[in-house]
Amino acid sequence: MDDSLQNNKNNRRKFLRISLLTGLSAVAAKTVFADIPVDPENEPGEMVTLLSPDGQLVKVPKEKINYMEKYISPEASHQGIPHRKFVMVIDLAKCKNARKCVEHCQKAHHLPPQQEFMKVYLMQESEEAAPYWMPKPCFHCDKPLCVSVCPVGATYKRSDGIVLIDNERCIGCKFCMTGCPYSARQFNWADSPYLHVDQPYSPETSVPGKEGTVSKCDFCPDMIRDGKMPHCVTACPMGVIYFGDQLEDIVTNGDETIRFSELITSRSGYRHLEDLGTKPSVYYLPPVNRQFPVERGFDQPDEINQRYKDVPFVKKMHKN
Amino acid sequence: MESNKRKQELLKEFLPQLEKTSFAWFAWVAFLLIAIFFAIYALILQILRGHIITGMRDNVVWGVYIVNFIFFMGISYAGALVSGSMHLFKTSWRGPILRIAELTTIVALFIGPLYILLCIGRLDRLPFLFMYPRIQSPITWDVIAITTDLFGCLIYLYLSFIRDFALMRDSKDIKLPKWRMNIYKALALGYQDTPTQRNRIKKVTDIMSAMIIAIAIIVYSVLAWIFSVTLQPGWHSTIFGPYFVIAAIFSGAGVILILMRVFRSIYHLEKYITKKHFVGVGMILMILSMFFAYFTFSEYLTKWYGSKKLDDNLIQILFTRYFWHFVFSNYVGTLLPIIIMGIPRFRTINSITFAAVVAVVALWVNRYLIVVPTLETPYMPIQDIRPDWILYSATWIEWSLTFGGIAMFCFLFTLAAKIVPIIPVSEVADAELEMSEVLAHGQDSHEATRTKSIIKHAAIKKEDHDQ
Amino acid sequence: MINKTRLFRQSLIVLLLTIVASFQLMAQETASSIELKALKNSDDSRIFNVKLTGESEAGAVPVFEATVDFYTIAEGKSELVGSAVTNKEGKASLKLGKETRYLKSKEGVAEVKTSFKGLGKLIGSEASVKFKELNLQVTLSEKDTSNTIHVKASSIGPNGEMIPLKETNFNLYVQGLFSKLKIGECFVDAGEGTFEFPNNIPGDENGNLKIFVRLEENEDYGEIEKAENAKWGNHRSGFAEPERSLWSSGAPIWMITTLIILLAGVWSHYIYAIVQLIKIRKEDKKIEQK
Ligand code: SF4
Ligand code: SF4
Ligand code: SF4
Repeated sequence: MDDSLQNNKNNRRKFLRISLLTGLSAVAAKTVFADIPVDPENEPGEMVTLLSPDGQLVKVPKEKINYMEKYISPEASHQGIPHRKFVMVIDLAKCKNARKCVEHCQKAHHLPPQQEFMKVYLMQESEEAAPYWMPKPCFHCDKPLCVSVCPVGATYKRSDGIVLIDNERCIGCKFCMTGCPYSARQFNWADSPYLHVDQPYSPETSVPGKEGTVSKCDFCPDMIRDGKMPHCVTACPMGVIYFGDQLEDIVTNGDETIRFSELITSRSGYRHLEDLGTKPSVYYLPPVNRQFPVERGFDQPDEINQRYKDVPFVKKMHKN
Repeated sequence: MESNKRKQELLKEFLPQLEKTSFAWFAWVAFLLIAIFFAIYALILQILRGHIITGMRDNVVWGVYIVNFIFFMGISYAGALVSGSMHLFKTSWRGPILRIAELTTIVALFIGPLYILLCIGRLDRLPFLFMYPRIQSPITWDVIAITTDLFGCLIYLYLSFIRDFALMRDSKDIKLPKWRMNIYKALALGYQDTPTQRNRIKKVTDIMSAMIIAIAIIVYSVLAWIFSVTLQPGWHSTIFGPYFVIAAIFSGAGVILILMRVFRSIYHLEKYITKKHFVGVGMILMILSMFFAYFTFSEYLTKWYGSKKLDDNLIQILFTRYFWHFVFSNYVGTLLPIIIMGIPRFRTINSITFAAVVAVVALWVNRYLIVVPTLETPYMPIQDIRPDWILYSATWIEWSLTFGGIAMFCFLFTLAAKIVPIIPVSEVADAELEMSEVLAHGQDSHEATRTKSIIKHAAIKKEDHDQ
Repeated sequence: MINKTRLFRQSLIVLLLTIVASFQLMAQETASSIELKALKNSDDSRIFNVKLTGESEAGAVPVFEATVDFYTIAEGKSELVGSAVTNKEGKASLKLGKETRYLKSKEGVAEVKTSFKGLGKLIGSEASVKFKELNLQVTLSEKDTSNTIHVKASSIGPNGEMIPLKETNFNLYVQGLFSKLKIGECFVDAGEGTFEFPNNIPGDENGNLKIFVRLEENEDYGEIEKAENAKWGNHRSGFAEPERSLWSSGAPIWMITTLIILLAGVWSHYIYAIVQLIKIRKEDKKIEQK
């Protein structure tokens, strides 16, 4: 009795909210689009703005994915997608720190603003060398030290090359975080509204996260099973990130489809810190013949730009 | 039965410590309990609010907790190594300090693992360590090793207690409540000091003391491997195993010295724990500090001399941000014991204790310098604007749990000293007896002959009894 | 509490704005635009994809649940061939089987128009594509080590006669997991062309490949596609995870043996010690009995 009352109230509030938002969007669509304040606690599901056939701008709930239908349980997630070996190729010549990969990945994985599965570094190998932007997900290493050191098998390497974390198994010892040389892993230090998502947990989605456990980029196997590419790949406006199956030797960034071996050989692809021997599944194409000057990457809010203040290039820039 | 008489006499001397509890004792215990409860409060906060209230973040994922873990485990292994080897090599003056070393082992071994638990994000899943163990993980090695070590130490400790338990059971002067006497009786396991029983105990203790030494070395190396199997530049080092073992005995010897000093004044043991003992353990401390200095030097020299970028970064911040920590832990901490022990004029009980205190604190800082700066210089540069994400600094939660652990150590030690005499009565009495016999036989007190005489002595006793 | 008052205040503002805005909206009409693409499939059916968007201040916004109609038109005549409803991305598609008869001009050109009529404040829009029929045949042949794709293409004249296709490039693709990989072009002249299929395309785990021959963005014929399956891939052996390694679930044998030896060694001594203790206890009992 009480429950249903509560529910009713909630629904009413939700309804009110939707209609208000609809009204709002009719007024000043532009500003509304820019940033509808998202309150993760009471967010009434994800909304998309559309035109109704009679010309009204409306907000309708986004197509709800039926999670149960595609649900991959933690046990089932140990099995890789058969006969595949996923690779990613990141073309550093095209990256301008647009951060779309970061944002879309964060959104899809319900990450708070400061937590990033994909991070964009400003790298400069030496003072004289040219600086460049380097997006860095988890490398899904073929010799993953993070997996080797886990005492309970909460993180594992699958036959399709993907390294996943089962946060229902993870005891939060953080050993894997010291084991990973690429700082790919993050700990859920506190409980937060972002960890409460109404969706069954699967290691393949990494959602919902759990306090006291570790999470990281998962290569989006849920998307792959759906025939779609990871969020970061499709989000990049520059087509920086290529994704595909090494066994069929095809990678694509959504626009362009190339043979993986051809791309790597013709553009001298490399893996970051190859000498550590972890054998990453993520390759980089060197930042030569660049499409953008590196300065274009500072087209970001201050709190992002501030991150790079210790890079020699930035220091020099500030001096002049 | 001359030895038995002497033993009872000796026991009588120590009985007041077990029987009476002074006001100061209660005050001390109350003080410790307050510290412990405060730590428990901090722990509850940490469990409720998550690890966010510690200073640990995504780069420095382990902080003072793991430092304390290494520290207490080190003390424990040192206690085992010192008592084990003193027993095995029949060090003539071991008697009065053996029990302190043994108690140190076991008490520290109860506290150390608690700190690794504090690093764990989900304590509710602790059973997973046993339900889904992966043998490849050094943490699994450590779980197995610590459990094994704990059992070994308990057995060893018990062996060394049995004879004293039996003495207390048989003592007529003892004024203790009935229930305590019953406990002693049960614990004494019906030991009647018959020659067969005596031989049995001796044989088992010998074996276990050898075992304890081996286990302590392996277990502490396993702990070092938790760090050195990773690729972190400050940790990925082949000498970490022996380095940690040496550091452990070093700090443990320091703690034993401090405890000797403390019990000497409180229990008025001036007669038993003499300067000879301080110099003896102090010598061990000095030798170990030399070894430790040597290992530290070769560890950092190679890093400094080579030009690897990440090693360089590490050395860089060790000599800038952590300059004074570095100087204190690696220069003062090692040189002071060497100077004080090296120059006979400086060797007083108090100065040796002072050197021990400095060495112990320096060792703690040394572990901090191994753990934290390494995690602050990862392979991928830290590009962040949140200060606490870039640099680690422990919060009051971590500090109160650290002091809580130390308080716990003191508390358990205080309790243990209430239960058994802090001087192993049987051991000391036997040693005295041996001594007098050796003198009576007019032999020189060379170690080898002495060992023989012990055996002879045992044989004589056996005949005695058989008659 | 604070939250509630804030929400209240916000809603008030929003309400006011809405009222103001609705006055504005009444006078305002929204233009729509429609995009149409057609593709002839392997089975000679045709698929028509449309995307309907409306102009708004924020740029193009998809129009959803709108009905779009499709007509075949030629020489002033027009017939409805079907309709479809847009989804939330503003997209709709219509598939017409190969039996569909399109109205044709004298030159044999068919035209399909799609139109959105408009409703309320949204103004309607139209788009159309033109195409001629093309007869496309793809055959695969294997000889020794070389695999060849033969393409035959001819259009149909006004009197039903076959006219071989002249100087046209067809694109060749193989299907990948997410997209099609272009492997080359086949030049067709006098109605025929051949293409040597490369022998280093892996295909799936059995070496199966799905090959597409496509005519793309052709002025006369529109987009046409023919797909064929072939077992021409040379798939390398899969990515095999080592069975017992540091990072697999099973540990390397040497680790297990070492561990067992060590533990057996240590614990047997413990057991020995405990047995000795038990013996001491028993001896005591004996003494008491005496
Ligand atoms: S990048 Fe790090 S977390 Fe990812 S697989 Fe490699 S070692 Fe593991
Ligand atoms: S933190 Fe979790 S995933 Fe990482 S090693 Fe520990 S149990 Fe395994
Ligand atoms: S692959 Fe998926 S999880 Fe990884 S960075 Fe891209 S979107 Fe994020």
